Amino acid sequence: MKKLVTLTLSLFLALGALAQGEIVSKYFDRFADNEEFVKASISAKMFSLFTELEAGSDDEKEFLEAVSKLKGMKVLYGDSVSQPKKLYNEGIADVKKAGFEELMTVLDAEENFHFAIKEKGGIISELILVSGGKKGFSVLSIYGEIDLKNISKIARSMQIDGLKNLEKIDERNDKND
Amino acid sequence: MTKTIRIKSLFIGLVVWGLSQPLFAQEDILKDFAENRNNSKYCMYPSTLRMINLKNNEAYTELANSFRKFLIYEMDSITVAKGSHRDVMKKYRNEGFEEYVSLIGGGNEVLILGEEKRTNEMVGIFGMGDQVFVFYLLGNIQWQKIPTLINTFAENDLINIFDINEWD
Repeated sequence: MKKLVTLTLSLFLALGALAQGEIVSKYFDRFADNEEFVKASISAKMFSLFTELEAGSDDEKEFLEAVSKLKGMKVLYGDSVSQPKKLYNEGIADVKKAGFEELMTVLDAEENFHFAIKEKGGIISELILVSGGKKGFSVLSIYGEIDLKNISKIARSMQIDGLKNLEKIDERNDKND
Repeated sequence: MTKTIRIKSLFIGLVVWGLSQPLFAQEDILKDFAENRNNSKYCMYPSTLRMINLKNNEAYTELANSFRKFLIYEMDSITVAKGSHRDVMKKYRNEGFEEYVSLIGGGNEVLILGEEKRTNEMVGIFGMGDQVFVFYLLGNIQWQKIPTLINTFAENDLINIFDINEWD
């Protein structure tokens, strides 16, 4: 009986882990053969490497702290795509349907940003960013144990175009302080 | 008694031999595939990697020191057109290598597979348009140096080893 309970719990935990990042995965499948979109993913295996490293400087310590609790990241983005506004609206609808809680929305003349999170017991397990402008569209998911303050640090450290929008979370934190 | 010791020794010997096989086999998968399918080949060690560091970038030197061997092949046009450089990555997956990073689209292709438990090895693809490289890397890579390197990286800090005209 104990074995059955353990097995069932393990199965549910495994299914929970699989479910993370599934919104972006859906877009990966949808645009699999479309070269307009860049599809990138970093696996849990990659993040696990960071947990074994020792920091030399304060910057490295900050970076390692930020990434060590993450389990994965998936991003799809296109700078010049057809119907970006439609994709943005569809993206927001998908995020809401999947039970994410809105964190912040930025409406801008050039580009709109929608941040949403999945939170349980005070721990954020997934952060989703949907953005859409006149030409571009992107959807990004970061999952694991997420500290919002650290997310923008990763974005700044790595200087990756697709992550630069995450710095807006930091701007929000600064306003709230 | 002697027979038991011999059997034990034989068993231990077989186990050691069995465990050591992947250490030698992993690099050969890429070598066997790429030796006759490349435009150019680069084999680098920490000393060679340090040589291209023109301005003695500290983060780069530390990163280079964590490499034991870095083998790079630029694939020929036939291989790129056929996409057979992806097939060799399937062989590595079958050997237990797992996906760390993947990126595809917009004319770019990046794949990094790793097997760090037994061998600290990585293999992968790096492609931009028609130019595609496959690589094999051995070493305990200091990944935490990458952000520092990105932030301190200035143009012409390193020699572009893929451009022979820069070697003067």
